[in-house]
Amino acid sequence: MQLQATGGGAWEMAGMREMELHLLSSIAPAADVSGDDQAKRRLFPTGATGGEDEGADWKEFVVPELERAFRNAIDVVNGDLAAVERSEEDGEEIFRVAVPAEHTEHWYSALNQARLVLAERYDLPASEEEFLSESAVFDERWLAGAQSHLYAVIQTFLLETVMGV
Amino acid sequence: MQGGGDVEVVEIPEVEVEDEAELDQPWNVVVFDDPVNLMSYVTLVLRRIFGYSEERATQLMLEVHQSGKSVVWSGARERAELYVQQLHGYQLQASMAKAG
Repeated sequence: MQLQATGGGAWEMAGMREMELHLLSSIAPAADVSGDDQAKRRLFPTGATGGEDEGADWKEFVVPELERAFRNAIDVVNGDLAAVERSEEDGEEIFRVAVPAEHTEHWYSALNQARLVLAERYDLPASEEEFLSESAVFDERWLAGAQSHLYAVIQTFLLETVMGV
Repeated sequence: MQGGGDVEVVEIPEVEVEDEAELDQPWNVVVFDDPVNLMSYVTLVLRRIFGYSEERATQLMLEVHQSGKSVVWSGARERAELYVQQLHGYQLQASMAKAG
């Protein structure tokens, strides 16, 4: 996969193989916290001011707003993925996804949601070295770690190249 | 006591009132370390929300990373609530607590 800025804040993921496109299409399911209370608490924590009433207010007024914003980011990403361009190179199908500048923050958010949920669900460590040393290759947790790593690579590209951090 | 005659004693119930000092007590906004958010992203978020310089935001981010948490702002409760909400919007782990 080649990540490159295409001007005016837009960017693209080009030369993708089917597996990479599959991993991008897995952002939404990875970020889904349905039935996973631990992941839900991580994405939508309480304001933690202590009182029960305050916690209830937070859930009533703040969490729905966050849910809407996070859902919107996922929808934007899915929309960009639906417009994937297909071509053929050396007899193999390759894919390109173009992202306009105004979708960048949505992509970052969606990738982050997915990584946060994967980290909670599979207890992924912070460092790649630690992960590689403790995980059996190709088990479900390893695949989740690889998926999260790809998302982190895209996030780093976005921060350094597109968002100018 | 001077004076004569019967005197009716009326007990005045104690009413708990938060004293002014407590109302004025600042609240801390605390950001916690997590294994997911990238360091440069945390710095970016602190700059965006609080308007900190690159240097100040980096210093706070490093404190979060090295100490596990950092008080990134202190002040009025309502503002603290707004900041925590914004931090959650950026998916950082954050909460607020009374200072002191």
